[in-house]
Amino acid sequence: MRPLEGLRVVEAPGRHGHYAGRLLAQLGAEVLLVEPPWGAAVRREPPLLATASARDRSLQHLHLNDGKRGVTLDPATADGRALLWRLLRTADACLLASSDGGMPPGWPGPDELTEMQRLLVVGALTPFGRTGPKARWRATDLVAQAAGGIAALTGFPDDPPARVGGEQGLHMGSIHLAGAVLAGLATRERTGRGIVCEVSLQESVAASVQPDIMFWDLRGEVRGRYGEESAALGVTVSRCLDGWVATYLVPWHWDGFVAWAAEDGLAEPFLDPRWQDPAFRQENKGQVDDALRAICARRTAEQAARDGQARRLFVFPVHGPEQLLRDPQLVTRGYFRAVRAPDGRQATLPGSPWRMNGEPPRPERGAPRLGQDNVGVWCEELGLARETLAALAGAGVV
Amino acid sequence: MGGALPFTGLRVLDLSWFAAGPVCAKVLADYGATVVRVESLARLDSLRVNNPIPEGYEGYNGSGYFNNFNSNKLSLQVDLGHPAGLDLARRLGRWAEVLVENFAPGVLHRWGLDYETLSRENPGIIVVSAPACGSEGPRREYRGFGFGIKAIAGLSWLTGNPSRKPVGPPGAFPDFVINAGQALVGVITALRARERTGRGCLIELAQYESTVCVTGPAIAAASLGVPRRGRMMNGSPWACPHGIYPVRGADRWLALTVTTDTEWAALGRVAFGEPWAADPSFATLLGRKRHEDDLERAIAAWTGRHEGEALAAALQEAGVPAHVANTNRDLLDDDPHLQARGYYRTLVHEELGPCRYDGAPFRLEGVAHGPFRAAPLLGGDTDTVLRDLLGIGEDEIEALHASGALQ
Repeated sequence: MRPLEGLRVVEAPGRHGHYAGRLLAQLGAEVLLVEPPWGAAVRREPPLLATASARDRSLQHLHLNDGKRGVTLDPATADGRALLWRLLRTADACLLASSDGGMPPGWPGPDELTEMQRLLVVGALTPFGRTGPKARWRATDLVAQAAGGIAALTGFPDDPPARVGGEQGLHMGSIHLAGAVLAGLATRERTGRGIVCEVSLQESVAASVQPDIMFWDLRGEVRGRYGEESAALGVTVSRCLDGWVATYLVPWHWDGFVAWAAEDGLAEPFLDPRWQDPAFRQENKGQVDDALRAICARRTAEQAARDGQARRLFVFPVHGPEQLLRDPQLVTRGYFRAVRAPDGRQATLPGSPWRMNGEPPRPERGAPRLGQDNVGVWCEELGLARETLAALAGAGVV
Repeated sequence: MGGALPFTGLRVLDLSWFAAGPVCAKVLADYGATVVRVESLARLDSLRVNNPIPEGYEGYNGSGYFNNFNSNKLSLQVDLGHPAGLDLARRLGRWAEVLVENFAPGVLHRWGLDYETLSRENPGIIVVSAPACGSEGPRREYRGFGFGIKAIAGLSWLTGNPSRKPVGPPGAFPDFVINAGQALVGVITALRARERTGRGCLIELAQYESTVCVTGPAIAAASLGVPRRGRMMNGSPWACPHGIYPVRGADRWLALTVTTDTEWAALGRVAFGEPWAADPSFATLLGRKRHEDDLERAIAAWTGRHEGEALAAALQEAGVPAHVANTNRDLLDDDPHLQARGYYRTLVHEELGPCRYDGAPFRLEGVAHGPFRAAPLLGGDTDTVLRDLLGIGEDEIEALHASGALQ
């Protein structure tokens, strides 16, 4: 039995929060993605497959909606609205996500939801949270990363601030949305009442700059982009024979570093007793970084990581997706998840973040085709006659 | 306010260090859990002596880096290398409902603090283990945290200027939300399952695997041979303009994105009078993409003449997503929205006085969440934990101090 089995979650088609539903679906919750009849926006976003139907081509959709059931409904119509309420009465939780502080068209807001259904746990992810002067401001991933403070720290000092790639602002907001809803459900266990759980995308991003906050509070330092000129010892990204290697040294790495340098005949300068003083190391960190670069330059990324890690140093290859797909660590652990792509081929997705008692919880299905579960949910579960469903479909309601 | 905190009474043993484990446990503390952070001078969390530390401060309690991840916790100082210290840790293993750790694989087993051993006497315990790459597999011995994980897991490949080194996201980026947050999702899920089964669970969150999870589209595209660019700075294949542009002031910047032609028209109203704003060849995404570089330069020249906050407000008013690139200073002192929401908390630290702390990463409406108490001093709660949580008598506590186990 999967850990969240028996939990029913209705997810509104909010682009910013889909990953929250995916996490809950991986853990065994039944997540029902409710899309408008023309499909959620994510279905039109690149990367796109060349040869599949227009509504199913998006690999964003394949990733973000993996494991969910899919129904269609236009809640802006009276019939659609009535049907939505019938569905919500069967749900434990509802996920709402918005890019402008409002609700998806036709959807009731969090307060109306908890008022109408007192047991419902409502998770609301908005760009800036539900209160405060910017509550109705809009944000895309890039804008949220700027507002939350990560962009000002990312990249090189002589470039503009940069975002963290792969929509990490949205992923972080969604991770907090999943956590919030689970915490809300735990609250319901204690109070017997539903609750609104609120997540701000800006604050979710701000949570990823926690160390930097304290630089201003305790030292009055405004932090900027440091590129590769980190203040810390041995933090470099070095070119190697076939790519890049990232290194990071902490104080107890010193002897391991010198021994590694010795292997390449580069240890001589570091044998001077002055290097025993951490302050001296810090003042002359350029020499340490240069030695690490020289060591990496003679090795492949994999060799550098293996040799460095054998000396217990923090050395890691810089991977792109092709390397990830064939990394023996991930492959032998059975990490990846095979799903059927909409064009019929087999696609690979990342697996689960967790193993529970050795087993990664996995969803039972891939991302839904548009309206895939309409009959199953509207007719078989909620008792709608098939003719009624056909009529609603004809009227553009489902 | 003042509704029920969901985790009041939950007993958490935090044996982790650095960031991912401590941040996960911190959120449980924000929502009511009693969290005992185990520390020792014999194995000091190096964050305790890492900057940011106030100028001139000497000691183990001045690091904002450490303090921010450990607010609301109790610090128990105990040397697990000492037999009496290890015995205490095992008693805490029987006391705890949740144990969070990020030792290298095998370390807990050696101490008899692994899930298998603990769950024999404490079947409800939930152990969260966060090794760098996993407890088995060819990289099982790998050590490291966010600094290296961002590289190996693909985030550096996705981030920044394509013509420069892939330095990736700043610092230990994956630790704070991606790994701490997904660990938290796992813990609350296991607590829910425990209600039904009476059994706890061993949750392994390999930091590498957890971070690859958020690169899904790139993985899927590579598996199907769909072309996809890696690093592309702030650009977007389906939006234009989409970037971070200079505004008035030293190192001041504004992010703005135009995803639809409606938003483009709205931007044009704010930039009324600019030649590009009225140029019909930019009216569609295709047209804007065709002259993207020219357009980006023209927009940067325009934004550069404006003050960031005012321009962001005007763009938002018109319906264009925009915001200044907040610095750490802006977040704490200059963003009126965050101030109105009270995201950051001021808590009085025993040695540093009033300091700002991150609030909880989400809010349960009507529930007054933490953090309520500043980070503990190293070992500041040792006697309290032994006496009040483990029920150890004063004589035995004194003997433990004398034995050297509490260092």
